[in-house]
Amino acid sequence: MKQDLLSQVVELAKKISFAGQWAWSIQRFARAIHPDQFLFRVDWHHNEPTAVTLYCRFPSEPSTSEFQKAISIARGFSWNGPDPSAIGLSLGVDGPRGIAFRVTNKGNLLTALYFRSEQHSGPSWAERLAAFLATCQYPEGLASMIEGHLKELYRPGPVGVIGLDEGQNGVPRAVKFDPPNVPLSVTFDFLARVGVSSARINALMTIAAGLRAESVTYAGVQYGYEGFSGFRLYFACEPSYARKPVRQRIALNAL
Amino acid sequence: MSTSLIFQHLFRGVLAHQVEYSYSEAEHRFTTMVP
Repeated sequence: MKQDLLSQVVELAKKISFAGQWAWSIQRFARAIHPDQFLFRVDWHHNEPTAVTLYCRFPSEPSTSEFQKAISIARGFSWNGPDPSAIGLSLGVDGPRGIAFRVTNKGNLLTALYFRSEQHSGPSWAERLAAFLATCQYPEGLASMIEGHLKELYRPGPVGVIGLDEGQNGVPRAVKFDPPNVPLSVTFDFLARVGVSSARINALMTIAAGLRAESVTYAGVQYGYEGFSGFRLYFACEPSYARKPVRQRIALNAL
Repeated sequence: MSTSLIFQHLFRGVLAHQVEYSYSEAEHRFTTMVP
């Protein structure tokens, strides 16, 4: 999404009671930083929005001081997670590639940072992962568990996007990985192993079938200080190629 | 007009070509991503 669609985002925000301050802040940020790409997310409960998020890609990776200056422009948002440059160093990248600004229907303003690694998701990635988790001040024991999960989910190829949710005292509330193009069988086996109910897995299988998906676009997994803390399956769709897109959407909303 | 209809109307140009849905543990909840 390019800058020209931001006006639609703001127009929608005007219709959402909890999104006023958020819209003001993201406009300020966009005018000052000129992100070169956006992604707009709405969280729904049935047909009611429960959160809105704008993901912004930095034109180039900011240093820590540039980042601090940038986030101060988005008033109401803050960053109390790890030093972005230290995280970049641990991952072997120049710095954060993107930032997300979210507001929930409870009025919470949340910030997340995203890094992009082109490193191959092979054995050498495990060393990076350990360094990354150490920089996040996460328990050492978590690394092997996360590594085991990611080995299962990543296909051969670049690691891609790694996210961090804001936290306290330099410790992120969550770290997030988005293995791309994960076959459905691998995804659902994984979910069963981490304790997702069979009823929910069956519902997700129905959704995947409705979208004619053979894999998930991303199998998002996240971890907090205590360990695995959730998942999110992403399905990219091209509705213009669907035979009955409207019916499809209604069916999906019901699950 | 409901928020979801306003959303679909405002972004109809993009949504006709590409949209990303996401689902988690929570039932009856999903996200739409406008790329």
